[in-house]
Amino acid sequence: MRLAILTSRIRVEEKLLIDALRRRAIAFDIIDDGELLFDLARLDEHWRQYDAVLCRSVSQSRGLAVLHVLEHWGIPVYNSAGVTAVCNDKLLTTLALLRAGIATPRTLLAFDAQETIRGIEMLGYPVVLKPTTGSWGRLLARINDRDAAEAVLEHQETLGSYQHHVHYIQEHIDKPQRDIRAFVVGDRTICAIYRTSAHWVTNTARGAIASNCPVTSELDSLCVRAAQTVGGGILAIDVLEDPQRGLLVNEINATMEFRNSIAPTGVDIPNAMLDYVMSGIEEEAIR
Amino acid sequence: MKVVPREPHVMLFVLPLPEDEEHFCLSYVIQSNFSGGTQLMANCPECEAQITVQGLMVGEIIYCPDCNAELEVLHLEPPAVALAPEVEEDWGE
Repeated sequence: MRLAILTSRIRVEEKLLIDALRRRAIAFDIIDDGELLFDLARLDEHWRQYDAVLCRSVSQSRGLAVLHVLEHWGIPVYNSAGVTAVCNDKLLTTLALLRAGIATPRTLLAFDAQETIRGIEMLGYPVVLKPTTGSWGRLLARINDRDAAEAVLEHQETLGSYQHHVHYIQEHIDKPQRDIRAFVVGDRTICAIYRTSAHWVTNTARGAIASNCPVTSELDSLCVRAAQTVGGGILAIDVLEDPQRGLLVNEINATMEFRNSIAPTGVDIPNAMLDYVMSGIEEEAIR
Repeated sequence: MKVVPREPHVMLFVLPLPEDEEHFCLSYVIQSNFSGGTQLMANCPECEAQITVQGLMVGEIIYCPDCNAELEVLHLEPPAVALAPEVEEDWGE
């Protein structure tokens, strides 16, 4: 039994996983995505020694590319390339949620600034503009009026790369100064936190405070459905509490960070992740 | 991420003289001789402060205790750190 952990840099999460692997006496290698070179038509036999590769790259584009290559070579990976591709792209995530009939904030998509402003005003101020890719609450903009809309769009179109010319316009949810981050591993929501902040962006990467959120049957059911609709695996589901409509799934993360969630929930998240990977390996061996 | 406590280069001890309790002598021990060598120290590329990599892993991000530069641990033996890459747009969860 040997695992590989694909990394770009060693965060607290990777150290926690490494510690859990050592405690369980599971052999593993750390593989830096920056040191990889693939000859795509030739399977690098080195990879065959791994029963599974756990993608923990902080670079979403590198991580996804490696997952595609390893899957092409038949190496088991967590999460799959398909799941990761959907989660890395907010447009694809929203479309998957809509297909499954899972409640999610109303979202519009436009390309030209003029049409984007028309979309924003269809939803009504304030709205949230997001890049379709990206994480940690970066480059989100709450647009409160037309002046702000015009300024942000001009900046995006002048300074942004082509990805920023795809305007993902989301209705603003008047959440209670917090959102919910739920951790789904396989077919179970193992724990959840509230992320509370005076700021409207409630990512812990932006300073929100984590506290335990009880996993109700409603939350569990919603999050497991959301996870399964993108393909399932080890996923973090971001949920907004809408005063009228209740729980709305906002985003899904395929390379979840969990350093702030172990203490408030009391759940051993890294070991739960490894349990899932190990059971996947065992199932693969039986086939 | 963590700030690495800077290792002292010199440790000072104030000791009473055996025959005369009113007078003291100042002794010192060079840190490299004291703790088994300086092989776990790297230099900050920004300010040249000495930084210990003991207990760290390759790929870990630390902050220089002197200049607060964000550094990536490149090697443990021999110890080496470099300025950490800027956060890129596709980084995240």
